[in-house]
Amino acid sequence: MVAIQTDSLTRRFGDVTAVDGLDLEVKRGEVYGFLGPNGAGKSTTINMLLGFTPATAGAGNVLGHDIGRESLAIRQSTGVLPEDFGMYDRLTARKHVQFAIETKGASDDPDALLRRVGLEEAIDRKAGGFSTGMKQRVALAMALVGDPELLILDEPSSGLDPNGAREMRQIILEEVDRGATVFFSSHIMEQVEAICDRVGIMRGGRLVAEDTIDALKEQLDAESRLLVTVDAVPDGLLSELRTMASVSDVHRSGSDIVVVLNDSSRKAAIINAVEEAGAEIADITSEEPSLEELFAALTTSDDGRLEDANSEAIDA
Amino acid sequence: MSWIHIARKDFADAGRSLMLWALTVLLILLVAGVSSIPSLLATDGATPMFEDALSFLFTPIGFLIPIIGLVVGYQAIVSERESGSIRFLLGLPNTRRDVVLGKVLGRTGVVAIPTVIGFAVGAVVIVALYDGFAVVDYLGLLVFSLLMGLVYVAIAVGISASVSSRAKALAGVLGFFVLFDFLWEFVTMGIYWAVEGSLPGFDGLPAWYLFVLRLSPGQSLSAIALTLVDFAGAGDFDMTAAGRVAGEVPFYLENWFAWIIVAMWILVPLGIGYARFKNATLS
Repeated sequence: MVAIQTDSLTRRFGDVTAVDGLDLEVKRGEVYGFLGPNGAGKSTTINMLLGFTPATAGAGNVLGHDIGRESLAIRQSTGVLPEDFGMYDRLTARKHVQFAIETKGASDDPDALLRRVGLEEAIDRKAGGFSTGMKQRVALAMALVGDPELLILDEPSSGLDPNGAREMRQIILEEVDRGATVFFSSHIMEQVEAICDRVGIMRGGRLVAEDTIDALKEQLDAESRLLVTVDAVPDGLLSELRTMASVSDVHRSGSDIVVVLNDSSRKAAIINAVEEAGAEIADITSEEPSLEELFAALTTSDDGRLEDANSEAIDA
Repeated sequence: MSWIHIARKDFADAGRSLMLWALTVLLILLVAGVSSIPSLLATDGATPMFEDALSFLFTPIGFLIPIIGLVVGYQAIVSERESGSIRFLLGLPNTRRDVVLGKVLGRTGVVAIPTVIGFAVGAVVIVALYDGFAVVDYLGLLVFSLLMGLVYVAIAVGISASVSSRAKALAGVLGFFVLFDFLWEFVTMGIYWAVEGSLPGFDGLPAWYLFVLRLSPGQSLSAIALTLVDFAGAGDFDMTAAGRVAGEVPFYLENWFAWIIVAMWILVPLGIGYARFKNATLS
């Protein structure tokens, strides 16, 4: 079964294409991390799924309901934690949750929901004085109302301290155990690694990668990096290294030779070749790039691959 | 039916603001205070009657309620768009029509409750100061005030639903007030002058002129007020269109037609506001 499906979903604002022919498929019961830097089109996609913004072209459905024609049915079965929301400053946390309960015709206890998100001391306080993190918790409590089949959480960890972010992840996992599907966006990779079944990475309005975390990590193994610090780079060494098996890129960065390998077992052969060329090796660093780096590479580099833009990070 | 929840929440939100209390004080001062003026100014031998108090009250009500309605209503929807709380409203299973209807209802409550309190306090003062308290006329003036509040709230909410910033909404209600509550008689006079080459007198007027004049919400509401309240002095000369038009009174100048104009002033601004809000991109 499919929870969210889009078919060439597109949104243009004037000349700018915010979302460009997006084909997305989120299965029921999974945790899907929707990643990308700010401005990649994540929020516009969510706005289209919820009916805030009509699509320019393409189609989509959520829980089997068309996003254009059956938005009300979607929002009845979905819990939404919006991005950049504002609160009713004069209403208490309880009133906010109560309003969501009444609107959805649910029978939850607002106090229990607020305790679950860690706001038990602020139940009767007005939202006007809340910190960003507290507001985020009220919004999460509102999203949990009525045990929704699907949770759409737009940057749920924003404004939360590390402890709060961990509690947020805990609640997401509890919801998935209950049988809910969770679709959440983030611009921070490390938040998704622990809880996501699959991730999709957005860039410039397009999905540039979509896979399980494990599959993405395998892709990383293919792009491990070797950094050899030498006293001087002998003539012709770089071009010689480039001809060797499994080497996808070689370049020089100061007194370092950076070799990108798509087979990490070939490192010894590279080091031997450098020594044989007459260079004295001062240091060797081997880098298995983190998921964070893959994310950075996918969302900032020109061809979506790891390259020398990251060499400074390796030095550090 | 979720517009009821929106209305209730909106009223609860407003009820915790200073606005509701300020309006209650204002309306108590208006009804109780203004209606006592004829009694305070009275010289011996000429004791003002209940009708005098009511007549004295009518003009300030007709001036203040529109301002109150516009001020209470103009931020209703656009401020939620600016603050981002609209994402809660529309992330929950509410349609945009629910939002517009709920806001009109909630904000009308914000105008209506202080109005009723003002009239209740005012009744005590009027009974104490004047002879001949007529319940039906007093309630008629209250109904007129509530209806006027609803009309101007609907206009303001319609404007609020149509625009994307508070500044535009403020400009909208301000422009509306100046045109229809301040300049309208001059506008129609100007049209009359352009057509007839002279300025209109009090009676013997062409029906089209009286109709254009009546098209403003204030004028159509006043026509209704004359049927709800028996004002002092109203018998001296005929304020209704029947007394001012040359020849037979056409149907569109009869008082029942004023109700249709008033209904239009509720439905048309809300319809336009809803149509624009429905297609608005909330990004």
